[in-house]
Amino acid sequence: QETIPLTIVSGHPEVFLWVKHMHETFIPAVDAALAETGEVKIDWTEAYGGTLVRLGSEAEALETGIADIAMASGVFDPAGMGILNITYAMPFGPTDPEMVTGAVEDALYSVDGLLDQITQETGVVYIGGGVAIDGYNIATKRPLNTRADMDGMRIGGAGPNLAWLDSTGAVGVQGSYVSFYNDISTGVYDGNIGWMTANVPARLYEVAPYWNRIDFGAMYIGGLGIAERVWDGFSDSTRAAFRAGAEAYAAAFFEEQAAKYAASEKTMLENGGSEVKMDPAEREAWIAEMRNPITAWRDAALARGEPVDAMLTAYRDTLAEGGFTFQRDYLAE
Amino acid sequence: MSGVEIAFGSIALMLVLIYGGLHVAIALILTSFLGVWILRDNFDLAANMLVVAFKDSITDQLFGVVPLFVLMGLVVSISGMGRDTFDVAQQAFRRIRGGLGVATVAANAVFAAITGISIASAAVFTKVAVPEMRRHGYTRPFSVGVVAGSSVLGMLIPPSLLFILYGILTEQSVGSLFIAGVLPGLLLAATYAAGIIAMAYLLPGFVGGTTRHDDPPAPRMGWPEIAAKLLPIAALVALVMGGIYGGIFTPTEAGGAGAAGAIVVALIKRRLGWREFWQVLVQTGHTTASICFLIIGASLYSRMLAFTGMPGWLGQSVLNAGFSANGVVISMIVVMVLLGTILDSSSILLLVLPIAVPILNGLGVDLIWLGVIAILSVEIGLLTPPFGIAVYVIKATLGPEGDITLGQIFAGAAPFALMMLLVLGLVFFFPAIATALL
Amino acid sequence: MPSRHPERQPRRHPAILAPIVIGLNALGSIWIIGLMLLICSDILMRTLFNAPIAGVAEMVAFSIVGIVFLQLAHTLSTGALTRSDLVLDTLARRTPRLRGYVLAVYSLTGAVLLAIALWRFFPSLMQAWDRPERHFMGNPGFFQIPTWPLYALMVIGMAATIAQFAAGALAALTGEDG
Ligand code: NA
Ligand code: NA
Repeated sequence: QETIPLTIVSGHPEVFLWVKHMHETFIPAVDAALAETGEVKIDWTEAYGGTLVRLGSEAEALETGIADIAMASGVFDPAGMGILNITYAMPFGPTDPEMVTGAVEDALYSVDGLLDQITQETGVVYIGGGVAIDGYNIATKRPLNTRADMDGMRIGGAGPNLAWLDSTGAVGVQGSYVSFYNDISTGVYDGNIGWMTANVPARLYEVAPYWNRIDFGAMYIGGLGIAERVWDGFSDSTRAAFRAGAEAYAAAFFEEQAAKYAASEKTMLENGGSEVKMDPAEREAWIAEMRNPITAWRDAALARGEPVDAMLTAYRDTLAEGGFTFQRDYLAE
Repeated sequence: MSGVEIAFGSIALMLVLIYGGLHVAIALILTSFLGVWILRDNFDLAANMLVVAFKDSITDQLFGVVPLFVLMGLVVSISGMGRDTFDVAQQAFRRIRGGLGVATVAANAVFAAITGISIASAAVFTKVAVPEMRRHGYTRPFSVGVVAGSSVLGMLIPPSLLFILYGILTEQSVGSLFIAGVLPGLLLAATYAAGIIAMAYLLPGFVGGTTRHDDPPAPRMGWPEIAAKLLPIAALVALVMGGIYGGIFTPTEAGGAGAAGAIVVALIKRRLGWREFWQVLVQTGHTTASICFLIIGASLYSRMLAFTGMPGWLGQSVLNAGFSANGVVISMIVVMVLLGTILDSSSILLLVLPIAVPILNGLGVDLIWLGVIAILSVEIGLLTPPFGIAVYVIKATLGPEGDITLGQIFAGAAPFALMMLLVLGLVFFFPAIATALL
Repeated sequence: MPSRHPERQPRRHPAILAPIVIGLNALGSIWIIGLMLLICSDILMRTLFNAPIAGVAEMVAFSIVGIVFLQLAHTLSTGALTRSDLVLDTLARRTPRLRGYVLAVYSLTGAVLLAIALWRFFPSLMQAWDRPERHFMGNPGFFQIPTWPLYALMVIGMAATIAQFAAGALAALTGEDG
């Protein structure tokens, strides 16, 4: 039996479910699958929370041998893995995280040469285990029933989310979950773009009690990646064990996230938070008048020479087959 | 060699190199480089880690404002605002032994409300308070010790980046943590003040500043003069505090607003010519480069330690020893204080909390109270050798002409580290200190 | 107080090193003011006109790295890079010759470490230059800044610091260090 030392890292700490289940699900599942054949055994080193590799440096760490496994994510590494940010370029999509992830991974696997190109450019092999966070919405100090309610509001958010505010009277201010609570409470901004299972643990309902159901949709943030130099040395059965581990990882993630979503919603409502549903006509007008969110992301992918149009089409069509049609066909423009 | 052996070997080597006089940042980089090389028997890997640490250790908005806080401190100092403030403090506290030390603590408590990082407090007050205390006859170790000790207040009194990090790691309310930090912060300030007065009586040789009978007594200032001296600094503090609590800017951005405000005040006072301004900028750059290169080294070192598995091993073996809740909390304090000798505060939280919190949560420990305990524990590390970031920031801010050695700064900070332990004990035995305001 | 020892500025170095090191330092110093103005402009634009400047977080992160590496060599040359003087001062009193050798070894250690870093870092600059579309900070459509200028500054800063370390070793051996 061969023992392989592998280092698994994340720039995020374990409170984030996509990190927690690396430790809690992925590693045990891989170990269990490998034990069936007894061919190899993994000697794991785990380092989360940026203690070994900073957020956004994961792909580089995999390529240069510092680490072997990490999340391949476009959100936190827009330059290296930007192609994985497809859902951020197509907001107002489905709110079901599993549906979104399924469609993204279908597109990744079905478009010819897409994953090979990622591997070639970054040295990272995508092994599945894609995850999406629950739907993005806006938490604010005042309810948002119409777009007019947003006039003059300052909303905190990460770069790629702020473009979604186009055509509303609100302005986006760059921020993160590190700054949201403090900056909303002092009034630097009036709310944030975020998702339930992050907003509620951060207790943002204390300072921005209105959870406005804008329904930007669930967003795919990435999947598990392994260093090519490691993957190349694996036998087929070892590879199968890792893919099985990735599958178990995603399943456990979605299960716990769904439970956490329900619990978070309850906590928020019990602690003075309330949900606001934006007038559907207002939302439609927003979507129609917003600057096409695909453009810049698509241009960046084209500059990298990635088959982005095939990917977009595959993603849109898979969702359509699953029963979801975007209110506006971003691709038709 | 096992990872843990390499980790302990690296600590020994780092101690020798730092006290031997190798640049601290180079000592950290060298030990980390050798550690990874030996651990993995892989030169390329060790070199690649070096490269990644250079690229991403300080690439963050948080570190981006370090030069601006340094600049603010220098301008406050060169424009005479610091001197004026301490002249008034000297008169107000003239009957109290160690009065300027107490004044520095009080000023730091106020400054703590406008900064979220201890580095900023240490840099600003090294420039503002140390020359004034020296001018009034306080000893070198005491003058810098007060600044090092009271820089900790920046993290206890809100806003505090460590509380935010703790809140994220443990899913606790940042607002509650901020409130929980207020009384312990004030208690620590009061303890420092009492300790300074006590030391001034019991250890006058350590404190100094009280036995300068040969000086002619300074003429007493009247109220108009006091007002004139305090107005500029009061305006600056009002600008920054008003900006933060009025929602105009964030505590991080306060570095930029504060530096600009200080420059405007200095210009109005006609105390800042082009030449002085350029010298201030150059020194800001030196201090910044020195601090940030140190942070790069420290970051690389903590990555090497994470690689060896030593912090995890230490945490697991101490925390899983099967204690009661209080036993686990005490173990956590011990681990954090020990790691504080070699690691920076946020690395310790990131390494220890994921191990400790699930255990403590299961034992029903109040995580808000624990947050105050944790922040106090890791912040002791700011003052302890061989790696005490507050001490190194003070050394860097004093500049190459400073006549105070690293050893003197560590010695001066030691009584304050002990007083932190005392306050830590008080918060441990009387949790209401943390939770009363909630 | 600002530096009171202009005579401790770069000394008997190859004549070309000092002006380069001073020039890089000046650039970094100006950049600090730029950084301050950037943050203040963002605050004002956001507060007065509800129009925050995009990408300030990225620009600040970019800037601090640039500033540090531009200033590093000059910081080193003026003795402002933090070190403990205890043992060195003792040696200075007892055996100045030995102190010179020790300082030379320390300077060479710094030079070698940074040389390793520079050697392994250089390919990053080439990649970032060749493929700016894969090497940037920020997000497409929001704010984007290529990393190659930053990496170029880091390379220059590292090279200057290596030269400064080497010059320091030479000065220590010839007994001309500060
Ligand atoms: Na503070
Ligand atoms: Na320490």
